[in-house]
Amino acid sequence: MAAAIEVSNLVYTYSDDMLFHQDVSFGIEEGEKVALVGANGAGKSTLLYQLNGIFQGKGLVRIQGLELNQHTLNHIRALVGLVFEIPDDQLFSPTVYDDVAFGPRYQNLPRDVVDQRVKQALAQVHMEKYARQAPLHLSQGEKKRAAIATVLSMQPSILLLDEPTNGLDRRSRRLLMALLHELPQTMLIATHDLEMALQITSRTLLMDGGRIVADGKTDEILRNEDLLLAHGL
Amino acid sequence: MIELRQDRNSHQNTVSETDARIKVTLAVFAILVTSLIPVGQWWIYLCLWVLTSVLGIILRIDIYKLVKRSLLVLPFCISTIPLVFRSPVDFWLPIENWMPGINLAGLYQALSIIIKSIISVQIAALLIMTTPFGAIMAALRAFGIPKVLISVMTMMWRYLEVILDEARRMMQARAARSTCLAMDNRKTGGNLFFRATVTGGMAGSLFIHSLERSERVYQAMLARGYDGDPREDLMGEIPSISRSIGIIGFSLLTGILFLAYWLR
Amino acid sequence: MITSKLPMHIPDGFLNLVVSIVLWVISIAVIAIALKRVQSQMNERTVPLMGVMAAAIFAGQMLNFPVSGGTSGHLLGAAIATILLGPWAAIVTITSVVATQAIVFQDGGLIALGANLFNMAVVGVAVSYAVYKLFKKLIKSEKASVLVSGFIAAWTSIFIASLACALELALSGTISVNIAVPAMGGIHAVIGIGEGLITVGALVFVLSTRKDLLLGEEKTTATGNRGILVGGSIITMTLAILSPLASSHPDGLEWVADQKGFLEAARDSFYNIIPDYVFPGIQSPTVATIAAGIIGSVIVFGLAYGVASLRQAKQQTVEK
Repeated sequence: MAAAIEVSNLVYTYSDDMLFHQDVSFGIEEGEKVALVGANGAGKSTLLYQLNGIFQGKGLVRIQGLELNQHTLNHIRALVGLVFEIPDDQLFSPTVYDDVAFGPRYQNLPRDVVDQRVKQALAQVHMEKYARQAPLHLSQGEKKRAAIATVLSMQPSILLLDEPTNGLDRRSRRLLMALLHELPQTMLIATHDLEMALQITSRTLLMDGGRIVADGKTDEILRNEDLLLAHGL
Repeated sequence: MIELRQDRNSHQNTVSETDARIKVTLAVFAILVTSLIPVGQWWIYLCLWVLTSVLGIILRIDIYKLVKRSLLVLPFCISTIPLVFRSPVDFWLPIENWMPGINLAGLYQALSIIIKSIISVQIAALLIMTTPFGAIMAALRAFGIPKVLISVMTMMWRYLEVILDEARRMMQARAARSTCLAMDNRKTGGNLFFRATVTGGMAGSLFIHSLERSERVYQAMLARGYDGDPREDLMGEIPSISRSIGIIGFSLLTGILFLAYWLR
Repeated sequence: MITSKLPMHIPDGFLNLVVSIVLWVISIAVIAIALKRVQSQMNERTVPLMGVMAAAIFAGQMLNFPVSGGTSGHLLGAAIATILLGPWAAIVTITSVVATQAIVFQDGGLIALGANLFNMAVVGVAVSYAVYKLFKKLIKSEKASVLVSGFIAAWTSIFIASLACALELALSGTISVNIAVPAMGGIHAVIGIGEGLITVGALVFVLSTRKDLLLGEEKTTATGNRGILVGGSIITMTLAILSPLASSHPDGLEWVADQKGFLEAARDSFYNIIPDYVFPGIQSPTVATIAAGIIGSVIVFGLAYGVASLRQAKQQTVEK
């Protein structure tokens, strides 16, 4: 069975010719929840962005066996949901309903299907009551959940999350963690929140300076103080 | 999108370090001179173009970037085409089935407009490529532009990159949700109305966020003692080197202008 | 780097100098009034509010949506700025945006900046305001009136601004008026629809989040804004009537200009005025040559003096 995500020899350079990612290779199986950990600037977000084509690097990216290129871009984005770090950037519609509906509407799905998807997605993040609210009026935690819903409505099998628990108070964080634990999708979560990673993920990729320097069980990696210190954490 | 990091040449020499007031004046004067050169003075145009290119070389500007900016005028250049093909016809183009007639005076006029336009863009590009935005603002202030307007534009410049980034991230987020189910790339994207209004929503979001940000900036300014009167660093005397460069430039440009009329 | 994708930023070289200067004068006057009005309305808030919102409008112009075959639609923003911030603030912010686009990105010329400011900051805003206020009064339902008026105001602002642009180019002799007006007008009548739709989208967003910004404002127009209301209405009607009239009677436009000696003066005199000035009434070629020689020498002398003082100044700096 094809792996959910397969990355080989990914190389990414910034526009001013700064080499960024060098030779990143890894694979993620269906259903795995993997943490992507590293200091600021280690390259976590950039890596995530290459997995659904927002950034284009050199090298091979395969999503469920399908190679990522110009032709498959739009299709792969339906399979891989990217939840950005700042929820305000993804909530650009007048109501939560509209934001969650954007994905299915863009796919030209019939109205009743769109409605069903939206209700389902909102239910999954426990935000059904917020459908008619303006995203701007939500709390930070609610915005994060709404942002996840905007991606869930496309029914992706893989979720990429960029710092999901950043800036959340204790309660919101707990709710979000419970949500991530519940959701069945394969996940790659870029995060600083080591505690969350320990609770939710089974595997961790440690990044430093654009390279993956460690790949193994979350328990082992995140409890290894020396390893973490050595790589800027 | 846009790169706001200015194309600063890494070498700073006497010419590029000229006082901003002189540079701005010379640039505007140069563009004025360019526009006053009569139609058809091809040698003078060449002269001006060579001058700007030489200046570009002295200032170590990336010539490629300079040329790229010149291309900005192309869309408007199309508008000069009717000048060329009109009556009275001076000669006919031997193109099958069509036979368009060219008016020579019109052709010269069109070419003159295009050339002058390109030279003007290069002059303006040279200015910004050797002068930071803040320096240009200071120069404009010295010329008498109201303090408030200069402060507003400076504040805009300060937040431009931040807000452009936000716009860029929004478009990335939208791209990430712009998908199609099947591999046959059948038409997706809703209709024009949908796409336009979603874009409008993004603009609205950008504006409201910015409105709220401006409130926070205002509070921060108040907290640091702002009272509505922007304090300014007045530019000092114009250094003598800059003065000299100003005189040279002015003389050169005036000379070219007179030459253009004399040759007429 | 083309920052705006609307073909309305006129580059240098396309406009007659007299036209440019006249438009500079008008723009400066209106912008000066706008600055005073804004300051009296907003006091210390002026700089942070105008500055950040100008950045927002600039960024807003970067948002796009695909139309068809590789083209995309963009926002100019005069209408939405006017509706959200009021006409005077809109003038200040759009001025900042257009000026920066010209200075930093060469999107629009530096001498032509006066004309571009006139078209976008003055006409664009005044027309938006007048049309918005008018239609808002006509429609009963609050929400619908904002959206419909917004759409019409946005469309009209683009269309009328493009007519102004066309007439300016025509008066400069760059394009003949019976091509310029239909062409610019036609293109922007279509582009205006995009502007209208984006504006509506933005207004819907604002209505759902910050209703207070749009509804329940002054029932009567504040006295300060009456000027713009009247001005905007006049500009709209003038351009709307004048343009097709001029376009179908190109000779008519020339006739009008000729009557005032304006067009001829604008076209040729600048080309003639300097030689006459330099050689006033000199008939003899010899004298003319001598005169030229003297002037030439003065110029060369100026250059030499300049270079010498440059060297001297450089030496002094080194010695310091």
